[in-house]
Amino acid sequence: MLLISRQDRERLGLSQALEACRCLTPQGKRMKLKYRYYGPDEKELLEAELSAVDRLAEYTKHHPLEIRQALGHLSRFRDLRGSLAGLSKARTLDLTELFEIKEAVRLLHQLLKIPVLLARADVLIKPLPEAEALLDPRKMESSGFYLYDEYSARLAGLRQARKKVEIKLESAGGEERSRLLEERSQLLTEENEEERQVRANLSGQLAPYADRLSENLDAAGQLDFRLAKAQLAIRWAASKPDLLEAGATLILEQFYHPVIEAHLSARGAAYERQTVTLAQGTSVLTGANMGGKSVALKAMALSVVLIHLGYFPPCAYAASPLFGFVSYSSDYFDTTKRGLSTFAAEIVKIRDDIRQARHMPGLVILDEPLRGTNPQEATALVRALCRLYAAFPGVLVVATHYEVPAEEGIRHLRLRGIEPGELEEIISGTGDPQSDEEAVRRIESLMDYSIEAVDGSASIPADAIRIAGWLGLDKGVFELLEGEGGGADGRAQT
Amino acid sequence: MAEDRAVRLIEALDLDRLASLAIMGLGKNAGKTTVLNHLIRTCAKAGLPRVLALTSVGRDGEDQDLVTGGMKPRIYVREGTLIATAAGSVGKSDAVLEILALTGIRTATGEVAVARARSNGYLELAGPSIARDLALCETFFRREEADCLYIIDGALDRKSQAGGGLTEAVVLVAGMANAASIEELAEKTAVQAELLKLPSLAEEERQEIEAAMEGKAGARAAIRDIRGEVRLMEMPSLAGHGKEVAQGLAPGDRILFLRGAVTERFVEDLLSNKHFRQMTLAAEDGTRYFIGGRTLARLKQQGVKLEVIHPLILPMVFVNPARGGGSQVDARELVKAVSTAVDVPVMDTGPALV
Repeated sequence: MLLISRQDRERLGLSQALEACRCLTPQGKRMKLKYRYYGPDEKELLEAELSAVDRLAEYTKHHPLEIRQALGHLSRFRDLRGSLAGLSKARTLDLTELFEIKEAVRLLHQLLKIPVLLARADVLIKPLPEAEALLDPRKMESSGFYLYDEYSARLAGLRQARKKVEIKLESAGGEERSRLLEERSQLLTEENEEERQVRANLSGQLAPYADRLSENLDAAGQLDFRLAKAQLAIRWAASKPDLLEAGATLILEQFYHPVIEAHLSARGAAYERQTVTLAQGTSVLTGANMGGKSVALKAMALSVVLIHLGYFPPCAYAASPLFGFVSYSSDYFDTTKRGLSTFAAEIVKIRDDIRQARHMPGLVILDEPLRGTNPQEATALVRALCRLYAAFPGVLVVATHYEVPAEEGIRHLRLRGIEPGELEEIISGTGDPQSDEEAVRRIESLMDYSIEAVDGSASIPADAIRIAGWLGLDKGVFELLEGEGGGADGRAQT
Repeated sequence: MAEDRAVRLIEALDLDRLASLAIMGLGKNAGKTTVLNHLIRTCAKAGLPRVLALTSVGRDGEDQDLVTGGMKPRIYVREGTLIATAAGSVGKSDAVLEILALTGIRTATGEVAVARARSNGYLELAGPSIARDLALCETFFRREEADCLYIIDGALDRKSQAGGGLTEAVVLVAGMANAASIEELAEKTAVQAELLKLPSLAEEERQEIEAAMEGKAGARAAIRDIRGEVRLMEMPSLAGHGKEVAQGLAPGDRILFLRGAVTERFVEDLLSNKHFRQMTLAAEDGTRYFIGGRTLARLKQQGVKLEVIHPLILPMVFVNPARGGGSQVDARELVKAVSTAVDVPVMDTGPALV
């Protein structure tokens, strides 16, 4: 059961991340787009899926030749739903449709010649010798198709007769020519009628195999999809995740968000991979502004969602219990469509999550909830939420600037951020940044994005004023900050 | 005798060596398909051992023969010939067709199929309409017969955004349907032949411009200045953007390369900028110039040199003496008139050939 909204999925960058999972067959592409979610009661099925992907990833590393062959065949599969439905409804197929079916049967035959691959993929393709024989009466094993003379002695005879007339036509003139043209035209009419009959017969003879062919095409799609997952796993250097019992602690080692990493690397910035463990109950993530909380939450959610979709997540190692749903909410709410205020939309989402989380283990990720609300009330609400989830069977991860005390079932995680003193060093040591981009880059270079568990409650980080100063916020603002915890030069008074 | 003539024509057209050939008409109903039929028969008569691979440039559903009211001419292919045509035409073929591949190219009358004729017979060619797809057809053909002679019936029209160098050679078909008099036809043919034979840019210039344009699908114009620097102009199409390109020209610019159809109107716009004088104007190939004699003369007068990225071989011009409505002009007179106007061999498409 996939309980993640389309909006959440987009914000997560799920479909973007999965652009790198390239299916070749229309059947495989359709499977990918279904986003099949494996829930807590489907652990065995998911284990089987992941194991198949794991075996394929191993096979891919050691048998590049066979993989190239298989991919070559897979890339030629077409969508045959229309033709197969036609066969089942006793429609007479046209020449190109018959060609398509022959091609599919031939490609399936080719895949059957790589049995090890099919076994690794846990995919069953059933041979279709009868259909093969029907479409290849000459046993040429060629890829082309036409209405062979073998289908009908009458058709063969008509073609022969026409050929003779055409040869005579080459040198005939006058009345003789007119007579021959007339004869040719008559023969062609009969030939067309006979061809139609042959197609009708052939379609009728193929009809009983339509279902099996359809199943085989689905199997080829399954192979394609699993191979694409395996190749994605290799590309992400991801390993097979361990599926844990309900209530066990979720572990993501060196996890990352591939889309954000690619984006950063395109502008020359590095992405620091992170490690986190999330036990049942509530985890409160704190960290400085610009400290990477949002990215960490997004990458965490992405990895967990991917596991539930049967992919290897972009981590060095992952172990996770299965959640009935994953909910991810960033601070951004597009409320214009539903006509709700930002606050109302947020509350509705939180309400729905709680309803789900009460009776099934879910992973709920909230990125700075209630940030636009009166801080006192918001703090109270966030604390209450944390307490509520502490007793639920699933996991709540919440990034917040509101202070949440540690207690039973509420743990604190901190993004390390900037070491005390380092920011002062660059502020005093180097000149003013040339551009906003440069200022951001220098701050990023100082940030330590690693996540650490904190005993008790984490102190609320107080780098915001210093960073605002470095980003060139008007000095007038800082002058007015006197006595409010800020200095005139933007340095925090600690 | 007929065999001798056929062999001579094969030699004149270099058909035993050419990789690919396009048949371009001077206008509608010039007689392109008649020429294609002649070529097919000629190859058969001369016993050319190569497989012919045929397609036509589609008109995106706008059937050109509906425009002029004529019947869509069919071609008569020999057993063994490869063709690329829309699925809608496959069922109408007299020739027994073996489908070899479906190309994924969609047209108004269905997906383009690659097939081999398993018998002689008539068929209708309805191929792709854009350059990339025409090139894809050639790839499919060569997969079947690496040494086939790829013949495209038609050339890209002025609506085609890009494409050049699709074939190694082109033959021009000038029909009396395209002009009011023999003299006018000779004049028009001479202009078109000159455009088709335009020389290539210098190798270095060509490479630099191609490198600059590579991967920039939206770039329609490239300007190379006296220092050898290339700057690009992006626009949805050349059509309607002549003034914009003209305004983009500066003193010191030497070459203007246009990707797309170079039309009269576009050239008019360019000529309004004095910096355009003495420059070199380049198109993808000679078929991408859609300009007449007067415009060509004005360009020369302004010192503008015309060149191309992909030079074409123009081995022959065919003239078709048939006027619309069934009447004919004197074929010998027509051949003579056109021969004096162009410096390539001229041949009549009439029945004498076969």
